[in-house]
Amino acid sequence: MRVAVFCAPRRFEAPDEFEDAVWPEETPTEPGFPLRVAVADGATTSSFAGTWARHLVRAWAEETLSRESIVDDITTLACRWREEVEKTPLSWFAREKVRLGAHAALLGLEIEETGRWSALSVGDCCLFQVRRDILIEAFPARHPEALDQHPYLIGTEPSPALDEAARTAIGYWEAGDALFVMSDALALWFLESAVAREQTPWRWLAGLDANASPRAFEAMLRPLRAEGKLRADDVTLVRITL
Amino acid sequence: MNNLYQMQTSAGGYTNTEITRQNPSCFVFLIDQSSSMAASFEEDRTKAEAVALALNNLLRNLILTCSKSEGIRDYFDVAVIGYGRYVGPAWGGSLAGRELVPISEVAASVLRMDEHPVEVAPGEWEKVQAPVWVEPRAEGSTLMCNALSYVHQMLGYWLGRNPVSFPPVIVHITDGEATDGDPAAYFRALSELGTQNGRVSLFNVHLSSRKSATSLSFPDSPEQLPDDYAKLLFNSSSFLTPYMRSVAWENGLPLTEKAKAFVLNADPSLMVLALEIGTRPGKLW
Repeated sequence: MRVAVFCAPRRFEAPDEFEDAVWPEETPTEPGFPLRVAVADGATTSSFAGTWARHLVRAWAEETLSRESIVDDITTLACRWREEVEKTPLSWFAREKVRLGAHAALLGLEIEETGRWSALSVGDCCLFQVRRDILIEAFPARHPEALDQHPYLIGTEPSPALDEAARTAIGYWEAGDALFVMSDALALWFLESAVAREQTPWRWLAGLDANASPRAFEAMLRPLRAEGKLRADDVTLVRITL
Repeated sequence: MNNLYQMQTSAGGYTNTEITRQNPSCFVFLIDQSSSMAASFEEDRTKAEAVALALNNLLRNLILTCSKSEGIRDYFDVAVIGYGRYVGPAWGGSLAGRELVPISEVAASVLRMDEHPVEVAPGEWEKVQAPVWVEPRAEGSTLMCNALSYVHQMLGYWLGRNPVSFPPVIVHITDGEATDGDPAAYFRALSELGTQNGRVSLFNVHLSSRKSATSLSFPDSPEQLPDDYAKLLFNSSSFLTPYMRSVAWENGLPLTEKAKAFVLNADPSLMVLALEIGTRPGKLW
């Protein structure tokens, strides 16, 4: 199994504005089973959303976030988020934004050695599975229109609606399969290419150099952005080759 | 997450552009501060007090929209211009005398911090900080022509420095007619200003002078308007952008594409709604 992690901020010159989070945080040299992967996309409209996204992916990696107890788990995480952001003195507007809470989309994936994978999704981060050059699974969105709406996101003020919004999927992998987990802008490009234009965007993703620096990854995305195929947004991708 | 705004072009259609820190847009709040604004408007507030309260709340919300983890993003410059005893900036405190101010500087220059109780759940009250930048004022006459001319000149400089920005939004709040001449030509000159991406949006909010007056919100034709003054305000107002119409729709007001950025004889709640719609030209990420 090989795992590669790619991240590019919306504006390369402003990396502190990057509000996606990913687990593993960088490409692991010797990934093992069970592999836990997560991508979270902090909503730019809220403050400290990147911090919130990092709490979510870490909780998924440490198995302190599950579908069964999601509302309780998020309540615990939200307390930690609040403690972290309130550690430093805040201006009046930052305090107000903390009071309004932060929001993020999450996709968590676990891959077991037995050939089974399971995923948890809230929001518009996506998982795609490709086998023998054919897209065999897309979760939770199956077509680009499904990403063109305001998704329900995980907030720091969890409500019972979170329980309804959380979705799970189970699948099976074979040697040679590729799994891609990504934030919404890249997922929209992927689905528009694969579904609307019947192209094979996974070939382009499979060809990305696993050792590419964030700057190199951003340079590779630039033509897609320039052609208007990729929205100006933070981009995060985890590629798993089995 | 994109930051597309839809806007009105001079041809009446709509185009897309972006508000960014490199290409900020601006809001101009033009407020009638003449003596008639001392009249009662709400149970315990004069018009001047109600306008100052709504405006301070609006500025707070604009700042929160631009507030991100790393601080305030300067998506907007903001001016508050008053007319009454004199015409000029209405900011208090350290911003006094300033015209267009970057929103980050507005956030850092609060005149004072009040606290307002807010009912967060039935029977559960929380104190929310309420920053103040503009104090109520009601004195002098309605120097509307002078004020429109002032804003025209101020925006002219800004547009010269920001030729490709999202066009400015001007929100004009008044309760009466000009006492310094016929404002028609001044309105026309102001509404013809713009950037390469379209003309300014001019929003006229006319406050009720009598409790029994019939209010009219976002009309799409001048037919229901009671007099020439109302028609003048109607004609000088811009069309609402699609996003403004969607905000109106969320508030239970289905509007046509020809709906104008104009309310007549607004009561306090219609004034607040008009300000909410007027400052949402598009979606900001």
